[in-house]
Amino acid sequence: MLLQYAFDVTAFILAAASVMLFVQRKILYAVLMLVIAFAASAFIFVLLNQVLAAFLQLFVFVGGLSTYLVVAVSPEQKAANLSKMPYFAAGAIIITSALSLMVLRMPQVYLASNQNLVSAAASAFSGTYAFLLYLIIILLFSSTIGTVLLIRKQIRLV
Amino acid sequence: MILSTYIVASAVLILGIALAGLLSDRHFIAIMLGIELIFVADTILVIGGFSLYQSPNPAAVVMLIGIWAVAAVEIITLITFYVYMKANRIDFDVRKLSKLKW
Repeated sequence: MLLQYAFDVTAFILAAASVMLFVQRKILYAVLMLVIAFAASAFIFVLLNQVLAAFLQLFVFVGGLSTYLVVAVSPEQKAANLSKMPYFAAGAIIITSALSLMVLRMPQVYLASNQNLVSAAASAFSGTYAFLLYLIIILLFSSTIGTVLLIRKQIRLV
Repeated sequence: MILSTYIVASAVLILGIALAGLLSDRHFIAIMLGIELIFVADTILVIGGFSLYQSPNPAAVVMLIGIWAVAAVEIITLITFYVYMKANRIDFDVRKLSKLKW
């Protein structure tokens, strides 16, 4: 029961941070809301007993990439008001209600506390999916190289 | 014990908020952050699936790593475009992105 309450509170924080992301006028605050959303999702993984995934989410996204993002957008002081709140509220209600129809037809199953991510990852790394993992690594590496090439000249102007 | 529908419902809620934000917002950075929220919803669904099955398909791990990799690349791209647009004084309003030329 306590687990259920913890999940409810975390899901509420996650949803509230997601809404606040689009409500904020300063982009730095919006990025901080995204960081809260990452942290809340990591706590949901802990509640699902997938501790390895939670650590990866925390270290890579909250600790690493979000720090880069916060540092990058922190000089932006100008507040922007480019969102239309009535459209956002109406869109969120309509889209969520439409997607919820799928949830209503789902069978209700209690989730088990399986620590099976490591064993499944071991099978993936040693099996036929290793090639796809190499492709993912190439994607990350090429995006980093592209970033350097694109902002090599611009970085002096900032 | 957590019901599977709770996981799917929270993922759907995040997806709905993110899609509504994508459709209503015109700020380039906010749109990119909204796409990042969609990846959060995806990750919650995949991790929920891991808890659902005793022995999940290894392809799900590849999918999870793929989602994480694309989310990381998106953040790198976001920072890159932010620096590029800021340096060239390009407006962050997506309606004016036709000015984004090499």
